Amino acid sequence: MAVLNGLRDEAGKICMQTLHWRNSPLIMSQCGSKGSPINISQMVACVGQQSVGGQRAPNGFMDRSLPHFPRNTKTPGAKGFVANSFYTGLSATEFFFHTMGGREGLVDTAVKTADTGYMSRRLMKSLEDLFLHYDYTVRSASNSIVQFCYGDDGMDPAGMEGKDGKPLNFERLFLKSKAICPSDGDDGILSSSDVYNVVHEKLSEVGMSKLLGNGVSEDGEMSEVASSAGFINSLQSFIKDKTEFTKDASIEVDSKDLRKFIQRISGITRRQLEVFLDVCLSRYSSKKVEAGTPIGAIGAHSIGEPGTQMTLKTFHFAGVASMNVTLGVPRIKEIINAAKNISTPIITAILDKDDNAHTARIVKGRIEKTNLGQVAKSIKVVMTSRSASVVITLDMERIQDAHLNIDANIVKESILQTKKIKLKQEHIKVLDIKKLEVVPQDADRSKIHFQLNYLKNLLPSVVVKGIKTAERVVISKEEDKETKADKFSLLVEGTGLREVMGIEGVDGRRTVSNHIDEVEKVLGIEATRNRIIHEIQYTMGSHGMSIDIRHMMLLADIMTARGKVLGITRFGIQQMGKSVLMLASFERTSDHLFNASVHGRDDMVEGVSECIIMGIPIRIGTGIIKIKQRLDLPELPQGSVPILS
Amino acid sequence: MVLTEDETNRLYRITRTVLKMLRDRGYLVHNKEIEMSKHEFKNKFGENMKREDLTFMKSMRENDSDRIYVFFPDEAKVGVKTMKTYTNRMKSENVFKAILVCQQNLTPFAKTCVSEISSTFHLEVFQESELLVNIVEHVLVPEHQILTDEEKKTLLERYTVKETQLPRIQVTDPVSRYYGLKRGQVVKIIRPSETAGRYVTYRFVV
Repeated sequence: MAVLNGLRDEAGKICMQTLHWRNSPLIMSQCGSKGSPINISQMVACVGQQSVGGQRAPNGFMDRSLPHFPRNTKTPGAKGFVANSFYTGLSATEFFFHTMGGREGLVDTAVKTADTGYMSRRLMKSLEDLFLHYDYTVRSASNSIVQFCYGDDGMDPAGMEGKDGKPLNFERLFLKSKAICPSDGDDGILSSSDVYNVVHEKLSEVGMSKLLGNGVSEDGEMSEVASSAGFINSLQSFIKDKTEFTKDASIEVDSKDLRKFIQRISGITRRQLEVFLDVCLSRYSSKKVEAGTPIGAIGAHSIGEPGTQMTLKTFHFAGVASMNVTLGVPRIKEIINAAKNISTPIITAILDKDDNAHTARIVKGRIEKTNLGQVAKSIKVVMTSRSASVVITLDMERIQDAHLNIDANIVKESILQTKKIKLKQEHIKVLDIKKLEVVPQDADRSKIHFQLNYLKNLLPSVVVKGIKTAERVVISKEEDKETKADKFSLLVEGTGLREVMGIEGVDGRRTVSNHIDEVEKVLGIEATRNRIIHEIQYTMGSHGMSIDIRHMMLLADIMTARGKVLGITRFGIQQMGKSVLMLASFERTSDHLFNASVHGRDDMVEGVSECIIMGIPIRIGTGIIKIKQRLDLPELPQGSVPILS
Repeated sequence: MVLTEDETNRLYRITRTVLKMLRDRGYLVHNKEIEMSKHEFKNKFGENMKREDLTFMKSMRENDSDRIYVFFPDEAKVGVKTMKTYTNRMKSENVFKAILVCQQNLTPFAKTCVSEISSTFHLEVFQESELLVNIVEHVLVPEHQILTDEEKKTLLERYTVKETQLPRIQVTDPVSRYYGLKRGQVVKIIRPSETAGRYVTYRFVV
């Protein structure tokens, strides 16, 4: 499959290189108005492999995809490879395969809109009434705290200038402040200690100087100042980088003119530094989120909208060939729903000694599930005149090759531990190191034949070694960028994080899984929060989209705020402590209303949905401020009792 | 029953985690005990050790009378009978807390037994597989600190919230079990942050 797909890409590359430069489709693709190399290659060279559900065309007939081919043919053409181009024209079978692939694309786009739309709605419902309060906390409608400081630093995601959601682009501001006040040569460049003093002075003006150095404030509380620690740190290291450069430059040069020249290029004068710091600090403080901002709604939109742009089903090779990971909308859905069973759980196990392929293979043998059928040379029914039994012979060569530590005694133990096979100690005899005999329970003679065959069918599936839930283990090799040494880690397909962590040779402290539910059980709620953020970011990233991390933090925080992971589904939202009217406006309206009336529930009409239902201004944005009035009822003069006649 | 090489290794890792756990909870544990190498461990307990040999007791750093037992039962499945012997031993020595490190799950009867006696004896049950790796040292698990009553009060006052309005953590959460948290306590969580460098949050134990 990978080879055949590569064929088209290869052809596309050649097309791009060799086509005449005035070729219209080529110009169209190169200038970026429409079309990709694939489209050109499909027109010129070959349409390529058609896939249905990530596989080659399935067998719709007995042992063949179409009746035009002999049975059991596995040639490219018989399994959906279209060798013709759109220009040469497709043959009948090729055309049919192409429609099969094309239909899948159509179904995907149709399903995608519905799926992502519903996802957006659920996200909105769960996050709608979160907003920032005046004490920097993010709270829900019932005033429970979700975050103590929005996005950990209280910055507005919409205003971020730098890469990866960093508040400022220091490089640009630095160049700007240098251009605004050029050095005339009179005021010399600052030494690094002077720079430090200036920075310290400027920061103490705004009360942030104590963050310098280790970047951690003493009181440990999340205050306005403490949340800026990350910013101050990055500012400090940026300035350090800049000044270190000047130090080197000033040493080498002796000539006065040259030094002046260098000063002008790379030195910082006091004025430049002051201007730079002023700009940085004032811009930074203007980028804080304001109280009342509907952060929840913004977050829900920011996650929901990119979702609509994703293609529905995509599989992706995670570094190693033949290792598939679910991505795209299905994966986002799994994460957000907090699904118990995910389609491709993968554990990344870091090894204690990661520089050796041999140890990696040994540890792999310890983790990977090995069935008796895989290591046995034969499992035979042996009948003699006096007894009948199943004899298992182990394939010692294969066991040695795979670095497994298996002999007949271990096999015996594992057969005894398998619950489905009800055998006892005395039924299994170890003949020698690679042979053992299983004598079934002495049933009456008429049934013994069935029992033997039953055993013979069941025995190959006995797990003799490894973790039962670890279906497959792949060794991944990575090159360390600095040392150029190969680094090995293991990718385990399947669940069982706790068991994998405990395996000898695996560094349990750095082993992680992409299965949210399992991480919660093994490592706790805080680790789960971290994983949710990471997994959403990874999935979005592999589709070339980047979402500000603050939105994902908010989502992860609301999912974990109750101590256990709550999915953004009707069951999860129900447990998030929302009011009756809000739940009723979401799903299962009548159920919630009946229930509430039976139990006599109150509704404080605090959240967004409730306020809209009741026709009251919502308590978000400017609506958080209310007027309190002292209520001294004026004493009304008592008039004479009207006489009714 | 003599333990195999693999099992002694496992037990070595388990005891180390248990000792670290007790130290983190504020019990008096010497560094020497924690840093004991695999070899020393083997020498200490001899060639043919049993799980029962590992049983030990530790007392609180500040308060000598506050002691805790750690039991390593030999049976794969711990039943009521073993539980009874342990509780008798605890009663005779006036110890009211214990950690039970079992190989597999408790029997259903033993489970009910634990909850029945929970008013007098505080028993915490861990499985061996949970203790092989110290989860608090895991890269994904941030630092947790238990707040004192006073700190808790100032926190609640500062944000003018009731304790139920804080984010929560369950008592059954692996990290809460590690620190032996009780309902009503508040933990301070200090985690590294991509945006702010460091972030402090609190969770209320429910």
